[in-house]
Amino acid sequence: MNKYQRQTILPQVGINGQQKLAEARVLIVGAGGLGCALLPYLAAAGIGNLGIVDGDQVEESNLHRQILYTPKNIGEHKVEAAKTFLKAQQPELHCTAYTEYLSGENALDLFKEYDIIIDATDRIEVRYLINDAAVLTNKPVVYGSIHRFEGQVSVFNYENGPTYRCLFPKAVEVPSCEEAGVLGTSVGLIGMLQAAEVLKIILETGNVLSGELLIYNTLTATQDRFKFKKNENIQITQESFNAAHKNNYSPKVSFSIDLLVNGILVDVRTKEEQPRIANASVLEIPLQELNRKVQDFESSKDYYFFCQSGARALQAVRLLKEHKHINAKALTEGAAQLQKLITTASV
Amino acid sequence: MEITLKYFGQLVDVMGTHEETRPVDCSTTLALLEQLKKNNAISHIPFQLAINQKLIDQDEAVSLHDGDVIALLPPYAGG
Repeated sequence: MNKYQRQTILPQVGINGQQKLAEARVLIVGAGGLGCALLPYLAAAGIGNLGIVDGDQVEESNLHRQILYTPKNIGEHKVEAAKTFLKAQQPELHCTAYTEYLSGENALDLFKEYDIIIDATDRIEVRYLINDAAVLTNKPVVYGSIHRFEGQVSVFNYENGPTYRCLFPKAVEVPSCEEAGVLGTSVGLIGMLQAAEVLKIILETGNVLSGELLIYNTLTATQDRFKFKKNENIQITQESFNAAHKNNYSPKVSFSIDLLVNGILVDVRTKEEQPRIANASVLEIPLQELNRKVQDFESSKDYYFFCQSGARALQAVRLLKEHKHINAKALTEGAAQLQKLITTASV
Repeated sequence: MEITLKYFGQLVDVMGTHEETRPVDCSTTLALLEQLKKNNAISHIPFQLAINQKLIDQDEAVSLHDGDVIALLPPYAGG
């Protein structure tokens, strides 16, 4: 244990803490700038099991900030090159390299194998995927992201705490490092802050950055912290996960006026909700009454469900799944949008 | 009433500064947001609002007070 003597003499670590590190299982999503910064420190600290997921190969333009790779690694899978580095650094490490991208198909199974997930990706939609899969598998997420000289760090879903969706509810378009540019030191610093959070979670010490967003600016050498709360209205379910992240799962379609040729729109909201859509092709069946109305559906028609946000429409489609004769799909649009589309189309 | 606006991420590039203190004639965050979004350069950038280091629900009208620090926080993607 001489190797870890300088950290086990810390009362916050000790022999017990070292044992916790050895038993810990941490999954890193992304072997780019953030991943390269935090991986060697996590391995060096004695974390026993590291998984790395990334389908990318090393490119020359990565080398200025992705310090685990050398020009010899160009063209190689990042996760393979990272694993080689980490195994040389720490021979007893169990390191699993997944040469694939995280997707709606593999995320849940992968997350189940680990205790902590690190979000070190560079794409906003993957951040939502990580968040949702972590909520469903009940794992904390140590989050880091970069815009030029600024980095954000937080810990999501820690002991049932706030998640990425509580901070940024909607998926939006945001530039990546490739588009915005970045210095290696900025990404290195944020990766190191993430690594520190991972160690605190495993060692059960200090204040974990849950319910707080830390923003560090390397250009001004300043940091800001913002508190945020759990949004209890946000529910992540297997159904919402499938709809958001599984490619081949598309019970949702976009409305076009052609759908009305052989289709019927079904409004599953309660009768009080506005706006109402006055059109001969709209059937009003509140979700609660759907089971009692199954015999009203004809196999020769296509039914398109809608509500306010789309959540109940998806629920309706799921409820009707067992009735194979009903052709049911949910519409991407909510009532307000549909009203506009239908009004425009009939003018 | 004077408030301080702090910009982050893409908003720094668009506004050309990290921070500015300026007089405002609006009494709630809703009115402030409406004013801010009149600036075409930022209207397409998504962000969350924090008052004095606490995130608020943007659909709620939160009263503003003299000396408040309002942060505009966009999501970042890079890594």
